[in-house]
Order: sequence, then structure tokens, then C-alpha cells
Amino acid sequence: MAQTWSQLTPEQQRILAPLKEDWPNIEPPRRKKWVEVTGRYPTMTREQQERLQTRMRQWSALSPQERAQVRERYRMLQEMPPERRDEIRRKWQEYDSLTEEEKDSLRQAHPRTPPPKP
Amino acid sequence: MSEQDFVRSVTRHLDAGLDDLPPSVLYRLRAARDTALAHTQEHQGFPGSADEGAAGRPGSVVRRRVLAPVAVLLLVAIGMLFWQQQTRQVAPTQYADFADVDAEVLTDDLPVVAYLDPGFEIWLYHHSAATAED
Repeated sequence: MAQTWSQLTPEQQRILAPLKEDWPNIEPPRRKKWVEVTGRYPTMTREQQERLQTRMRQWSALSPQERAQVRERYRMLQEMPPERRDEIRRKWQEYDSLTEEEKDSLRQAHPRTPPPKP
Repeated sequence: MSEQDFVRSVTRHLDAGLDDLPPSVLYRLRAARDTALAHTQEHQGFPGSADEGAAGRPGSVVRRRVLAPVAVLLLVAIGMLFWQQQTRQVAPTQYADFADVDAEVLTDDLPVVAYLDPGFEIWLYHHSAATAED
């Protein structure tokens, strides 16, 4: 039986607050996984906790198609050699340090994909 | 009278008597013939005529024509059952796997937006192209 939002403890609700609106649509195995994440939450550093909160907010804003795309690409990334994964992470750091104008010009150069949501 | 002459004489006598057979004898002969034919057809397992039966085991041809599609259907049915069983067994595992991915993606070093940002895709592409040229 999947846990409803009201069945979560106040602490779990606080941690998973960004997912509250989406909770009824989350499949039971994924809910279970999120509850497990709340168990690990106290052991995370403050920085890790803040990052998770930001990521959950981003995640809840994605459409089902976008989530499927993220999962697929994450899987592809995991199948790459470790050095290639590290390289991609390093490239993200470089890309993230660009100005918004520079990022926009790169986005516009993409042949198909529309720009991401702000 | 030689033996051959005797046989010819008996045959002539029997043939001459065929037209004079009483109805009861004719009936018994017909019944015996029908029984013999029915027995032959039953033995071959083929409900066709005696001529077809004599043409070279058509029953086995028909059996092959009927049994081959039945065998194919059986194989397909077994295959579908196997596939359904496999799907039932695998689906929950894959589902749990996807659940793992969600939690992993959100706790990974690479943020979610990186997977969807077309600008990063171009950035990566140019970097890979530049590396390949070097």
C-alpha cells in the first residue's frame, strides 16, 4: 500500500515538501524510494540537503516527458567510462560558469530543442 | 480332364450363376463389401473415397496439413504465455529500478537541468569536436 502524503511524518513532509503537489501522481515504488531518502537526509551535509531541495523543486516542475528524458540520459551517463563521466561533469561546471547571454546563444544554436524553462 | 480344364469349367459355372443369385445373397455380399471398405477407410484415418485412398496415403498428407498449423499455433501460444510470465516477473524489477534512478538523479553531482539544457548539449558537442581535432 502506497503511503499518502498525510501518512508521512511531519519531518518527512518537511523534507519532501517540494514534491507535495506531485505526490499523488508519484508511483508507489518511487514514493517508497523518496521515503528512504528522508531517512538518509539527516546524515547529509547542509550543502547536500540544500542541493536536494533545489533538485526536488526542479524535478517537480518537469513534465513526464522531460523526466523520462532525464532518466534515459542519466542511464546513458552511467554506462559511460568513469573518465568520460568526470569530463562531462567538469564541462558542466564550465558551462554553468558562463553568463546567461552566452548560454542563450548556445541554446539558440541547438537545431531542435526549444530553450528550457527559466 | 486336366486341372486347368477343371478350373475353367468351375469359373464358367460360377460366372453363369452370378445373374441368378438370390436377393438375400446379393444383400449379404453388398453388406460385406461395405464393411470391408469402411474398415479400410477407418484404418487409413481418411474419410475420402476408396480411389483416393488407393492413390498413396492421402490421409498422412491431410494429417500434416492439419497438424502443422495446430503445432504452430501451439508454439505461438506457449511463446506468448512464456513472454507474459517473463513480463510479469521483470516489470516490478524495472519499476523499482526506475524508482532508484529518480533518487540517484536528484542526489547526483550533475543537476537535473544539465540533462535537458540544449545549450549544454551544444557546449559538450563543441568540446568533443575540439578534443577530436586535437
